[in-house]
Amino acid sequence: MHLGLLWGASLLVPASLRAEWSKEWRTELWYVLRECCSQTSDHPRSIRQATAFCVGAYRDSFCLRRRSWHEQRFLGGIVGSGSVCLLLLIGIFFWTWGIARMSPRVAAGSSRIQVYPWLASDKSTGPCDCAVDLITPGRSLQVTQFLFNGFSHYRITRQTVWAHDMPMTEWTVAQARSDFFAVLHLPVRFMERFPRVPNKLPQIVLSRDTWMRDFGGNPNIAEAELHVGSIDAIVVGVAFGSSMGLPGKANAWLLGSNAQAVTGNAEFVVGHLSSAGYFEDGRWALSVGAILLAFVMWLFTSRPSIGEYSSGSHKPSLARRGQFWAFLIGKISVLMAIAYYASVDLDCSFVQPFSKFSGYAQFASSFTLCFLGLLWAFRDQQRRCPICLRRMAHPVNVGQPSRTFLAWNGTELVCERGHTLLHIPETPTSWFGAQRWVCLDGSWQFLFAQETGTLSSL
Amino acid sequence: MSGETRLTHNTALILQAIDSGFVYGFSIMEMTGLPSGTVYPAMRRMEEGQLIRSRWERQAIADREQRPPRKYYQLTNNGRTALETSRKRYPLVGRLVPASGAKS
Repeated sequence: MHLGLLWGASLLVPASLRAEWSKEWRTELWYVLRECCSQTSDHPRSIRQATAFCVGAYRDSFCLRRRSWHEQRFLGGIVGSGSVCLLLLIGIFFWTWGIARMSPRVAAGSSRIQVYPWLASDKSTGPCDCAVDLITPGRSLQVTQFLFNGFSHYRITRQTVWAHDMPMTEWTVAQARSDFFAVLHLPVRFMERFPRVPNKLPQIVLSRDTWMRDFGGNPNIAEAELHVGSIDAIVVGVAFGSSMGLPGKANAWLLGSNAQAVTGNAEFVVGHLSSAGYFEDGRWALSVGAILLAFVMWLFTSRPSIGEYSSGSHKPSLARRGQFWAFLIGKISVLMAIAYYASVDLDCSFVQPFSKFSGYAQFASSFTLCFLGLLWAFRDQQRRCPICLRRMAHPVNVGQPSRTFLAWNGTELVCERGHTLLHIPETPTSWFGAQRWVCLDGSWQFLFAQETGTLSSL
Repeated sequence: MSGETRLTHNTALILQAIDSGFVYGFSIMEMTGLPSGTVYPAMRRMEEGQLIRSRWERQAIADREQRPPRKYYQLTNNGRTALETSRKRYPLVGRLVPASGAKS
């Protein structure tokens, strides 16, 4: 077991150092086991001690691995660069945006469709006739018609389905109005291949999953005949897009069916929001509001301070300072966009589309992502050279803690290209509260070898 | 500008232990009370900062004592200087680790 632990840790060690590293740790383990077994007769305790020894090997191996990363100048140069940082953020933005564009769950969650359960307590009126009171209680018909483009209805049933080339199987069939897909602007593929000659048979639209599973994704599915319960229907197409997220998880949609409602079947009224209705609905505004709230919270809870310049050193030019602040603003802008699309992706991936909790989940994820992102962005900015925007490197402890009030005690970092020094006080005092930049003039350049990327000692 | 290896309390303890004759990794752990995940990375950093050097003991010595050969550590001149500095900075280190302990 202990040798196994050491073997696992050795995988982290760079290949060139692995053999000697393994030899050292295996040898020491031999002595650890000999020492533990000789000191105590309690076998489990000696095993624990030896295990604790082996677990420390992971930290040692990770240190060696991290050192090898720093020694790779190319990688170190890339990771520290400001432009690469910005490009990485933009890449993450396009990734989250791409998921939002391509994911059917996201399409369902952010669509203009609103779904409402209908209890059918009043059978004298149809579901769409009472949609006004159901969906927008207390509002006039005119307002409802302004907010919605149209309404439709569907009922979930269980039916036995079979065809000449498909065995008998149980499906969840949604019995919907004939204009269901048109009203909701839902795409139906292969419908254009259906002949325009009116067919007396009821029309059925398959769900994408059912089409792939039971019909092998056959592109010539249109005009196929199915037996659905006691009636025959003709396939007119396959439903894609946000119809997959509608409650009920229907295998197929039977359009214009006149079958009687069965007590206990779930029924839903669906509405399609107009542009005004989508704006009024405010789902998108939840994310935007959460991001703005996170920005305000970050301003008040943290003390954003890039630092001050040492009184003895010259300050960077106006152009350089403008570049520094433009980099920060660019990072924050991209992070806010990432927070928005990432919250949409997370909300639609983990919360059922059309659920009443989706708005709250989106708000919470937007706020959290934006707040953490802002904290990181500012922290990252505090550690970047104001001249070249590279990460400051080589932290060195300067001074003595016992002389905090007589001298200066803190950490010093340096720009590898010799532009600036950064002094961070260990304990903020009244004369040295925030970090301080010291800009180096050209006379220091001979110390910084750009070819080797290392500091030469004084 | 000060050296790159940070003279922390743990670093001072390890330097003192090596100077006291505890030259093997496990014996340094036993003397300082520090875990292996602290001692070995610190010794890597000190070796990189040229405060200590490592060597493998001869196979013949290990064979004579019927045990595997071990890697041992020694202070360099820079290490001795750093040890003196650390004793001024951390006066208690000399009391925690005896100046002349049992040789491993």
